[in-house]
Amino acid sequence: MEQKRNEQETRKIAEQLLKTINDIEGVENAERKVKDNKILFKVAGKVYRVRRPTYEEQMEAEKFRRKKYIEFVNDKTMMFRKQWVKIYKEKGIDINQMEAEMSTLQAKIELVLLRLAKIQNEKDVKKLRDEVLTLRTKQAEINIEKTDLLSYSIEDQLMITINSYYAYMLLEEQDKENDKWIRVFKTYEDFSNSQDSDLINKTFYHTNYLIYTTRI
Amino acid sequence: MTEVILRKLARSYQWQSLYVRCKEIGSLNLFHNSDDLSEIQRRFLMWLEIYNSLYMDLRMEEDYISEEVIEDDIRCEAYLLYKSREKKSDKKKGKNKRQVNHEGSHSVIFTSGDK
Repeated sequence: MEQKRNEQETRKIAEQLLKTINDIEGVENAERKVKDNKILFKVAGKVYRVRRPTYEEQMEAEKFRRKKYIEFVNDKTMMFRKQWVKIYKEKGIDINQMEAEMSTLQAKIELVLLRLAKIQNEKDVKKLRDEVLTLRTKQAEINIEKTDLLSYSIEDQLMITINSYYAYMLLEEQDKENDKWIRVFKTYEDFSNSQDSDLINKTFYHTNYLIYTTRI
Repeated sequence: MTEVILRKLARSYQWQSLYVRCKEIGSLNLFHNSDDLSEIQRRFLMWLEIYNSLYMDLRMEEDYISEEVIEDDIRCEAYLLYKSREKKSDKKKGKNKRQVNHEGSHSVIFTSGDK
């Protein structure tokens, strides 16, 4: 019974995410994103925007990153990627091997691509294209598994946290009376505690297109 | 998915002609903002340049390039990889050729007294 409910919830979340992506995608939207370094979007009829961070905001985010890094390093339940790799190896999961497999697949993909480049016959083109797609799918599957396994690492958690912080800082709504844009959430805590998943998902999605996020 | 759309836009006639004009006339702007490019704008610029060079190859009637190749993302990647490997091998050949020429010619050793 409990399992069935979890499955239903997971499906609901997946459907919601797919709906969000479908709403956002499309050539017209992509063109709008490309034309400006600010992205406007609607949620429940209300217009929001995300923009590039100012120098001061970048400094603020850096300060937040340092603070969180120290917090994570001192947290005994958190570990670096290297430590996770070691633990997984002891349990029979070899992440280095996964990386090696991905490199081997990449080399195979390149060989097929080089053959494909010189071919014009429709039937052979299709065959080689399909071969590339199959190899890419295998590569993506391994990558997803690896990313999933390391998602609790300090590096990945720090990246998620910093992305959230940028999303909080850069999300704005229009103040029509004073003709200016103002932050939607007063504090990062307000942003983190928000129940408006549609707004939060779309903010993450659009912010990603605007800023560079670097790993430590 | 967005990368596919981004590439479709970058190879479109509208954006390619705008890109060429912007390159010719420096004062024209591709985007509303002239600086502080976003991540997606940087990626889009990269694709504009790539497709611009592909259309150039097509006009120059280079081997293995066609409209169909440009329209197909995987075939396009195949062509770009082939071209980059060719370039590398040409460079290597050129280097080897220079070495052979150098070995075959009389060498002149400059010393401090040769000024």
